[in-house]
Amino acid sequence: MPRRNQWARAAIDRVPARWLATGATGVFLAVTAAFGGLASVPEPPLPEIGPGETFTGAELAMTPIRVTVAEELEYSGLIADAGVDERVLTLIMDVTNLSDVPRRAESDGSASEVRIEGFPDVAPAIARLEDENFAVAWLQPNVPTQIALSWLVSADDVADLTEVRVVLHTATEYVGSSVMHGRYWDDVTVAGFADLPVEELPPAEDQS
Amino acid sequence: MMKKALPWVATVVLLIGAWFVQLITPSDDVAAEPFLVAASIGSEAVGREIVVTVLEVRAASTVTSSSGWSAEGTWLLVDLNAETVTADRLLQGATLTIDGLEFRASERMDSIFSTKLVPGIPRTGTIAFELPDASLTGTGILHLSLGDDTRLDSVIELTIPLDELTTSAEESVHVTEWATS
Repeated sequence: MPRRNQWARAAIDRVPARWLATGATGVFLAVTAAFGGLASVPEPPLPEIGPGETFTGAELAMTPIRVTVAEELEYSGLIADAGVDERVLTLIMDVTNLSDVPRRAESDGSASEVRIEGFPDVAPAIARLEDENFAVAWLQPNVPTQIALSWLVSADDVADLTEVRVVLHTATEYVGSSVMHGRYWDDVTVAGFADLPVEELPPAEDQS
Repeated sequence: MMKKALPWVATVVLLIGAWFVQLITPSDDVAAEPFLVAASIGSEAVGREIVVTVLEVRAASTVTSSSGWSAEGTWLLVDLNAETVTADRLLQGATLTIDGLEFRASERMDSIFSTKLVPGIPRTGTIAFELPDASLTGTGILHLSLGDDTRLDSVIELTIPLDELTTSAEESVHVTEWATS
């Protein structure tokens, strides 16, 4: 040990060990306070979009177009029960699958997770109305697809409905390893909203 | 000097050796990879349980089917004869991979996709793929199999040079029927 450092060693030896703990605690508290203390950071509000605007979540670009209420909507996949006075609440939405594999619109984490606020938390029936055939809808990568998401609701709940809030989601993709095989989506969370006016469709016999 | 350097040299050699071993170690999926059967247009490709002859590959901007359905877009149509080897099976695996994007045969119209194949007597029909605009460049890899889970099964593979296709205004999805030739 060179002689010129001996004064430093002697000085450190004179500092009581207790001071170190106190000093370290003080520094920690000062740094914590400088970053806003232990209060949680306020979460930024979720994005809100209007009709025709696009929200991206769960690798889907979702563009809600319009919301309709009808006594009956052909090819929607749902048949309202006249006896209990039901209506078909439908969201027309453009969806583009941004991942690199095809995804079923009805699968977990896909378009089936979209909801209308204030209505039961159930998955919609999904159809491509332009094909005039209710069938399983697959979203091919990068191919924009217009789908209709429909829910059966009670007529009372939609009687005076002028605007609805569409709840859009995000999710995380997992790749199965040992037991699971393939890719799947999970951890679905609400990530955005779209406010849309509600259009009342005339009864089926008037449509042509 | 030698004694001091030896552990260092040994460490470096072992580290590089470990890196190479890690490089050439096959992934877990390799043990279950499908068996690829290369196909070419006009000749029969025989897999474990599926036999396919691709007849023609077409591209179109409007596709129609016999039921009256039609749709615009960018479409690639594959005409083929297909049969199974031992038992009735559905043709449920049909993907087209272009530039890292995997497309699945369209379910939007009636086609030979998802229909039943039988042993020995080929069915003929069309499989349609709906693609993004301007995606018909480069190379497309067509995979055909009975199930969409292709692990340890045979998969018919056809390489399609997409630049050589001419896109017609309208093409139709052939009615699925017994092959006559």
